[in-house]
Amino acid sequence: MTTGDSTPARRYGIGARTPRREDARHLAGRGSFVSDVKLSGLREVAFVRSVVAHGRITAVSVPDDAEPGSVWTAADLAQLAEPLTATSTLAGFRAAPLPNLAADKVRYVGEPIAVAIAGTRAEAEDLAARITVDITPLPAVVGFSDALAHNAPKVHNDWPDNIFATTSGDVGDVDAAAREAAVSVTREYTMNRQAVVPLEGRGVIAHYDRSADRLSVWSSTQTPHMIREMIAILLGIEARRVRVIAPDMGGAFGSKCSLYPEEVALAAIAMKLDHPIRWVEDRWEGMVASTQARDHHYLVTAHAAADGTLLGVEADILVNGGAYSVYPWTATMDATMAAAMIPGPYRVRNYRFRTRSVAANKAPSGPYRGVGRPGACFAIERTIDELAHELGLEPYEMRLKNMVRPDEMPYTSVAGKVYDSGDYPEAVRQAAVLIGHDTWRKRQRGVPTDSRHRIGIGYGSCTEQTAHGCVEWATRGLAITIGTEGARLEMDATGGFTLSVGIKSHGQGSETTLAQVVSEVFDVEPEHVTVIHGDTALTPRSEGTFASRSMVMAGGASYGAARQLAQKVKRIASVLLDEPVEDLRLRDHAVVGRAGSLGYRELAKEFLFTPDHVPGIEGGLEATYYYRPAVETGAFSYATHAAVVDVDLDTGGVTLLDYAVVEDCGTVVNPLIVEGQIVGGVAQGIGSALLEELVYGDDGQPKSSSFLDYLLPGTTEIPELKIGHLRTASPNTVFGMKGTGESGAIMPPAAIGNAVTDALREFGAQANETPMTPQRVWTALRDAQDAMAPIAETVS
Amino acid sequence: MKPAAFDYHRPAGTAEAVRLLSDLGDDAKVIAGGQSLLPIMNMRLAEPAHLVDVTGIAELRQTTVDASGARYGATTTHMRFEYQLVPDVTGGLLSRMAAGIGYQAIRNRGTVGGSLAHSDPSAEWPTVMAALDAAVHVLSVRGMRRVPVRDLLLGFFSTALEPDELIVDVEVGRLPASTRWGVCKTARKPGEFAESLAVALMEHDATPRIRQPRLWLGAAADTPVRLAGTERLVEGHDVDAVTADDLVVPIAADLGADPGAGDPAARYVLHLHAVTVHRALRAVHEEVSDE
Repeated sequence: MTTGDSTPARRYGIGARTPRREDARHLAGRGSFVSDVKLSGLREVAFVRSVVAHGRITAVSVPDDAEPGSVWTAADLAQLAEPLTATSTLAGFRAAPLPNLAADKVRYVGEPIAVAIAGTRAEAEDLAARITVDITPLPAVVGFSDALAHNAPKVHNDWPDNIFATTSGDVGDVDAAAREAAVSVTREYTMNRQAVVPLEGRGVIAHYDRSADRLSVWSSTQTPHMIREMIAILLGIEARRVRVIAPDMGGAFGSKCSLYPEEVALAAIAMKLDHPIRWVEDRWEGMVASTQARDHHYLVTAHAAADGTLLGVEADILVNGGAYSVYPWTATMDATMAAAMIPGPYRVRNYRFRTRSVAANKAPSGPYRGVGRPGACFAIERTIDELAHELGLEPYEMRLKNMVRPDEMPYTSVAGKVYDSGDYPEAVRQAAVLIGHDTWRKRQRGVPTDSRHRIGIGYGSCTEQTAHGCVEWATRGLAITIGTEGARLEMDATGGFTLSVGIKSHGQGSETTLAQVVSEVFDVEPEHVTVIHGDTALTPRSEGTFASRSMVMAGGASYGAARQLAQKVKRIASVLLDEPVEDLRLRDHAVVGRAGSLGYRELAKEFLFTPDHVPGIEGGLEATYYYRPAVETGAFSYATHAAVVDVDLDTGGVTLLDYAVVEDCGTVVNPLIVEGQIVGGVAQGIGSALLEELVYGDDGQPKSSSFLDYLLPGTTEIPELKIGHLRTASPNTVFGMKGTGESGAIMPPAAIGNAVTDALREFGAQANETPMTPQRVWTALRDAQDAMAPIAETVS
Repeated sequence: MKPAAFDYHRPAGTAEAVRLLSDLGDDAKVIAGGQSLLPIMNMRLAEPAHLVDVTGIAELRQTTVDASGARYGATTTHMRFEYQLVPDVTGGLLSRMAAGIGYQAIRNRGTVGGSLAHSDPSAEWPTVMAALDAAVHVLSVRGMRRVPVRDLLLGFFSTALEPDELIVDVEVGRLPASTRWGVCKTARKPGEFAESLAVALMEHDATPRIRQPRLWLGAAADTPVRLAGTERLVEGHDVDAVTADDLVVPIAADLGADPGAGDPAARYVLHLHAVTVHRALRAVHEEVSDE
């Protein structure tokens, strides 16, 4: 199913198709998740949550017979922990402190109000049901028009309106581009709200060990070090007293890289209890109280010359960020990313944008695979197709014409992003070949006009900034600028390796890929490398796993540590073999010289058990390295997806007939894992495109908070993918790697939206809103036919 | 999302089961496959104090067949219909419907009696059993009674069963060789509940003519709906001469809906029912012409 694998230089190093080591324990059911942790005296937590979207809390009544320490309200917690406040340096940004438990007002259904603790979760739910909360409902702010209305109710009373922040930019001369253009199109696009839905929900255990004076927090989190530091700050204690452990995780996709009220509340309460407490998110809580995503609206105008040259783009972007800003990303995260990504992989030089991040009575938005890009990609790529249609061009030719060319790299986009490397047009050309463009066009033309089905072909292209450093986060206003990663590598007395990294592999196979980095340097099988991650007591400080950064950043750090340790190992071997360091190579578990060789096991034993045998070499057989890339603008992955759909004209149903991906994530560390990331990402992108939608009523009630109503893609919705790879090494990273975790999820709405629109061109219907449900597609078709009918009559 | 506490009973026979139901009254709930009840209990939308598990009762798993039809034990699972591990007296209709219920894991546990007692109008069994004019035999301490499915289903999650009554089997008449069936289920994806569910039965006369149609529609109202007006409209027409659009107005009339509704969702739903019924009609025709 793939093309273009390269041959790795090392058997188990960079490029090796090594099976995921993690799979053995997970397939055998031997993983250990938060729910599996066994601690003496552990009691379970249920949260009392708001069932009202917007309202004033008038009373929280605790049952008289509740055991001491079994119920906690905002009043109890006020003395123990500060609310979480995400700040931003963006001009005019309005902070919205996120309460650990709601005190005076509730702002979304699912907002935590009180904590109930009992021996089992069922008993905790019994107790929670006996805590009564009186709420006077207020009018809810739900959609964009509610939020922006002149006399809208306010989510945050002290704000003048419901806008977290407005950003804008005007580069080049869009007005001149408009005057010069042969064609201009204006379109509106909506990408509706989604849940993130990892297989495993969130979960937290907190335990204060009085003898060690240490608070231990187990959390299913992508960012254990960040959680540790923020818990310490909010609890007003030194971080040395806090240890955060992220055990095995069943996915996260961004929903577990913000600090949550549940983490702070459990940590604060545990400090007052003599027993550990655990909360495990249930699926309803996951659908209403984990961070949600997308909820974008775009008004895009694009101008093109008669030959298809893209002259200018204007975008007015709205993002509904929900009730609060999550830490550290803030509610502006999606909008600022979307504005930067609207120009896409194109050479456009005139660009004007405005973004408004809007507050509403919905769960806070947070990162989700792709962050902002799926919406931006949908908006610009649909617009590219509309321009191509107006100009009578094949949409993929429009892309080829306008994409940044390889000889222009590095290329600074009109939005100021530095595209580092790659051949963007080649991905389009290869995708067209892989999907069999001409064959499908022939089949499409062969569909009889009286058929109740149509075929459509669509493309979506995007660049994806990955592993960006401090400079990027600073430009987006973040209070913390992220950009370093640490790794520590030790060789033990038996010649085995332990690599400790602060990132958290929550399903992406870093235990395999980071071991491959060590293998690349030391030429050992990954089985000889233990990768420790996700425990702040055992790993160097880290920022965490998000933004498609772990392979590049933690991989860079691991490589740095491995090279330092390798140098030391060679120096030791130089003494023991009596050969100069420059003559030594690391091969197959051994240091190999011109005359002799020494296995790692013997070397380690000699050096650690009998250091007097190795005179002149300082102690310690380990190295710690912090990686911060010299160029911090990121390594840009890119891809073109091509989709072929069948549209049922009677039901509006869309079926994927074929799907191809041609991507470039630079040097591939493990093709199996990269393909897994692509397939998983595309699956989620298909969910965005066709199925998944968190529907809210006018009163702010979530109407699709179970899998009865919230549809996820499954095996029957995901076709066999055709995947092709380009491998342009990034000049900015170790090995030339580029991140690839998010890429697959970004383009499916664009490619599928363009394919559906292509299928319906003869009727004049367009797919401009996701998910493209049968009802939306059919309604668009009927409305277009209704609109055309009177014209036809007039003509006749 | 954990159920409230309940007492669990697992009687070995129907007499013991109905005695328990009688003794426990309104606080008891019969559980068979649990595929609907358990999620509802986990969400605490139902908090029965007692569960009476009838899956240990061998007689509820038995099927008897004679020339007139079959009596399927109430705890016969969807899977057994799907793979025809019980005789299908409807020429494959029961098997076909069962195969569309949920996913395999659900079909392995869910039961025909449980589905009828649950009375979800989007589910397969209520619509097909109503179309076939099946009946349930219901036991209580007062004795056995026979209730036609059309009378059993009173509304969404509501039936004519008394709290202490237990469905013991489902009686389905044998479909005559001259009767053909066609079904269509429209759902967002395989395994989901139907957005529309149509069962068409008609007499076969070796022409594309629609003869004596019986049309039933699920997922359209609180209970399955017989489309009597639509039947009259299509009677005697060639199936190829009927379009889905032709069916919108009569189906709306049968459902008591407004065919000119401006609301896009209502407009779509009505259209989807018309498409689904149309496809069920065509499916009958296609089955016939395949022979």
